[in-house]
Amino acid sequence: MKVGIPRALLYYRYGEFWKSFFKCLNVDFIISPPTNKKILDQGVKYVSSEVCLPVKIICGHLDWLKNKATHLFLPRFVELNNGLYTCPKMIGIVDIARFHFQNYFQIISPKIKNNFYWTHFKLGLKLTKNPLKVKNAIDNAQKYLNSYPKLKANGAPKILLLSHFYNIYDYYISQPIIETFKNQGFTIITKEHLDNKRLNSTKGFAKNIRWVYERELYNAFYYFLPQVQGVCNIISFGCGPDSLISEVMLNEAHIQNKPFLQLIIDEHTSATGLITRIEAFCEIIKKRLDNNVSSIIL
Amino acid sequence: MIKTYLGIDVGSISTKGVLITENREIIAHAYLRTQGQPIEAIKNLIKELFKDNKNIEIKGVGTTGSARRLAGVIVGADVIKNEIITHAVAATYFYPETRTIIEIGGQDSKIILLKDSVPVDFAMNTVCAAGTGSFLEHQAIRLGIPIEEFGDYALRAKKAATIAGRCTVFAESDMIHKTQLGIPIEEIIRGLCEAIVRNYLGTVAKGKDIQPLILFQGGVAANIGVKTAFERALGIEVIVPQHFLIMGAIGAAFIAQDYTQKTKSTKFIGENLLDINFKTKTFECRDCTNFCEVIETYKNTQIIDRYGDRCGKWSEKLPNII
Ligand code: SF4
Ligand code: SF4
Repeated sequence: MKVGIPRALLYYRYGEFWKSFFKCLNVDFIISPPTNKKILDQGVKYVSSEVCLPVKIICGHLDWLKNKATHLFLPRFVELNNGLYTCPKMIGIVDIARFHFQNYFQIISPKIKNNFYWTHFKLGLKLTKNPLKVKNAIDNAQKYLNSYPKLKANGAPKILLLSHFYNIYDYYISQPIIETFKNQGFTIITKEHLDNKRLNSTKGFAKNIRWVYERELYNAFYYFLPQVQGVCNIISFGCGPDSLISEVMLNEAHIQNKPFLQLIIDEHTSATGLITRIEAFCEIIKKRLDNNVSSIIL
Repeated sequence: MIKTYLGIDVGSISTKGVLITENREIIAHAYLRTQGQPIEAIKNLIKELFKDNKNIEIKGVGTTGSARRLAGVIVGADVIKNEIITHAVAATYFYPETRTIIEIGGQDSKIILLKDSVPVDFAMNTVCAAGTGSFLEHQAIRLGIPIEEFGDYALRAKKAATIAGRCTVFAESDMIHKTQLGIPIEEIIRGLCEAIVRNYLGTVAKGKDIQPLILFQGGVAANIGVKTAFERALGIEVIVPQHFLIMGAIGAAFIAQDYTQKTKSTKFIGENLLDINFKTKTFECRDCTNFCEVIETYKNTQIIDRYGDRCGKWSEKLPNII
C-alpha cells in the first residue's frame, strides 16, 4: 500500500499533520512535488475553464500521482468549527477525483464535519488495528497543525498579502508577486502572522462570514490594516467566496484610505501584467510615504 | 544643438514617441502601429522623430508601455517606467487639477485617481478586450465606416440602441440583430459608444470615486461619441487633452528629464541604433519542470537582456545588465 497525497489546496494547512500521522502508523506515502508548469498544464485538462486555479492545480497533482500510488488520500472537508464551511469546490474535489482517477487508485476520502480528530482516528484504526498507536500518531501529529512556513517579515514598510494559503504557499503562483514586492523594497506579512484566536474571531462583520478561510482572511485584514502601508489581495478567477469578501475588504480599505490592490489570477495570468500592477502600486505607496507630495518626480 | 528628451511608449497595438525640449515643448511626435514587431516599430519611430530634427542632442530617454523593458534595452533608456506613472505625470503637467484619468487604448483600459498631482489609486482591465480600441476598430470595419467618423455618427443619433457592453461577442451579435431590425446605423453606433462607457464604468472603474477634473486619453479618446457618452453617464465635463494619444510617451520623457538632470548623463545609444541588428529569441529552459520561456534580446550577436526565468539562473548570468 502506498498513499498518494497531492501537494495542493489543504495540503498547505494539514500536510505536516498528515506526514507525521502516516509516518507514525508506518504507512508508506508519497507527496507530489511543488507545482510546476507541467503539473498545471496537466491539471487544466481535467476541469472546465470556469473553475478556479487552485482546483486546476490539484487536478494536476492528482494526475502526477497516478501510477505512483495505490491509494489516494483526499479527505472531504465540509464543515469546521461548527457552522463554518469550506467552499463547494473543495467539497466537490473528491467527486472530480472519483470521476477521473478511480481506475488509478483507491480513493480514501473520509468526510470531515466538525470531527477532524475522530475522522482521523477512525481512519487510523482501519490502517492498523491498534487504537493506542493511532492515538499516539494523532497526538504526535497535532503539534504540526498550525505550523506552516511564515514568510519572513522584517523592517517596514509592510504589505499585507491576503490570499488563501494554497495560493501564497504555492510558490508557483505567488513567487512573481512576492519577488516584485521585495524588489520594490517592501516586506510582506500574511494572515499566518496572526494568532489563532484573532484569526477566528467572530467580532463585527466576521460573524456573518460562514466560510472558514474567508473569515480568517477578513479577520487578518481587519487586524493588520492599521499596521500596513497597503493590502494586496490575490483572488482566483471564478472563486465565489473571494469575490464577495474581497469587495467587502475593498470598501473598508477605501473608507480607511489604504491602498488596496486586487490581483485576479488564473492560468493565463502573465507575470508581466502582474508586475506592472504591483510596481505601480508600490510607487503609489512610496509616494504616500514621502511627505513631499507636491513634486512630480517619481 | 537643441537639448531634447526622448519618450517612447510601446504598447501591443501602437508605438508612440515624443521629443521635448528643456522647457517641455514638444518638437516632434510620432504614432505608429506596433504590428507585432516592436523592434521594427521602435526603429521606425526613431527615424520618424529624427527626420526633421537634425540639430538636436538627446539628453535623456524614458520608455514605458507593455514593451518598456525591450524598448529600454534597445535604445538605452535612462528610466523605464510603467504606464500608470507616466500617464499620471503627463496629465498633471498639463492639467494640475486632474483627479481622474480615463485611459482607453488599443487593447487595455485603465483608470488612475490622483490627489494633489500624485496617483493614489488605479485599476486596469483584466482579461477582456470589450470596450477597447481594437474592438471599436473591428466594428468600424465590419460596418464599413471609417473609424474617424464613428464619433460623428454617434452624435447624429437622437437616441441610442441598446447594446450589451459586457462582452465583445454579445455586443457584436446585438449589433447585427439591431441592424436587421432596421435600426439606423447612427443609433447603433451611439449605442455601442454607450455600451463601451457602461462596460468601463462597471468593470475597470467599479467602486472608484470619479472626481473632476477628468481627463480622457488613449486612442479611443479620439472618438467624440465615447467622450460624449462619458459626459452623459457621469454628468460632468470630460476633457480630452491635446496630446491624448501620446501622453504615456510624454510622461516618460518628463521623467527622463527629471532623472538625467540629476545624473547628468544619458545611456542613449544614439541614432546609429538604426544600423544595429536587434533580435529577440525565446527558448524553453528544460533544466527543471517549470519549463520557463526565457526571452533574450540580442544586439547583433551580443546578448543584452534576458528574463522570464523563475529561478533567476539566466537573468543573473547576464554580463552587463542594464
Ligand atoms: S475558496 Fe475559491 S479558490 Fe478556494 S477552492 Fe473554493 S473557489 Fe477555489
Ligand atoms: S529557468 Fe530556472 S526555473 Fe525556469 S525551467 Fe529553467 S531551471 Fe527551471
